Amino acid sequence: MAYNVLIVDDSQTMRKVILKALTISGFDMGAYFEAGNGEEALTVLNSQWVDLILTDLNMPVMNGLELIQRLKENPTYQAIPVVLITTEGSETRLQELFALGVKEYIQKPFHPEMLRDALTRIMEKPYV
Amino acid sequence: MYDDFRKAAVSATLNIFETMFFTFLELNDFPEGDASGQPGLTLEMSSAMVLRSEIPFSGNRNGVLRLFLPYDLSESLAMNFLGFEDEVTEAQILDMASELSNMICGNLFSLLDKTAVFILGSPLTEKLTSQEAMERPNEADITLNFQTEGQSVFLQLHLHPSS
Repeated sequence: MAYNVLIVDDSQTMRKVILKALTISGFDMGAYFEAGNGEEALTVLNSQWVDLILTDLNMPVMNGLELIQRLKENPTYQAIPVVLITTEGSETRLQELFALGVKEYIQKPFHPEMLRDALTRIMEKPYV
Repeated sequence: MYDDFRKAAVSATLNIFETMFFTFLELNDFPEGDASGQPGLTLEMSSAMVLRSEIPFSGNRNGVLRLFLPYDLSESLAMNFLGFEDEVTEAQILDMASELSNMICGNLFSLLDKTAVFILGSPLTEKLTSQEAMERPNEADITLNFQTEGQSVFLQLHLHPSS
């Protein structure tokens, strides 16, 4: 089964890097969508079916924390797994985010294998 | 005085260049007893054009982190980062430099204190002549010089006195 992925990061370059890492990792990806902040992500979710969200934390307009809160408040989106890909590594902050329902956390810099392993854990599916 | 910051900055920078850019840096080490780095180290850039990327941070300590990259090195870093074999645009190069300073800053604080929460601001990256880059306000408590492929990369940390 191929999974539709939404990548949310204010850096267009970083979105390309994450997409490349996803491709290299062997993750079974279907459609790919991108957004530059949380608000744009919600717009994408209104019109597209998404199985997995990969998001940064620090973004303008609507940051990753607010996006996660909005997703969890909405019955339509609350079951979509969210993976954080961020430079932050504070355990205190991460505990707060896991309490909100974040499934996995990847700190930049990362290898494609780290991404694959995190997604494997979430989707419970072995990858090539 | 800033030995912990210096060690974390060196470790974060080396790791990020290697992991995300496949580029190995060598630290130009300082004389024994000068563990805090050299605040007054001259920014002698080997390239005519330079990227100056600055990111503010706040938390237990407030301040700014600054990164100086030769433009031609930045171009090859952006190609490595994106996996492109052809040309990269100037916008992509500037975006890469912002992401690089963001990653170094975030990792530095993770290494310093796993439990403290630091808020990173938005990085600002400018393309400048090396003369313009040196004339900007570059106050720093720590200045680190790295070498790669015969080119210099500088990293500065300035901690606000009140923090």
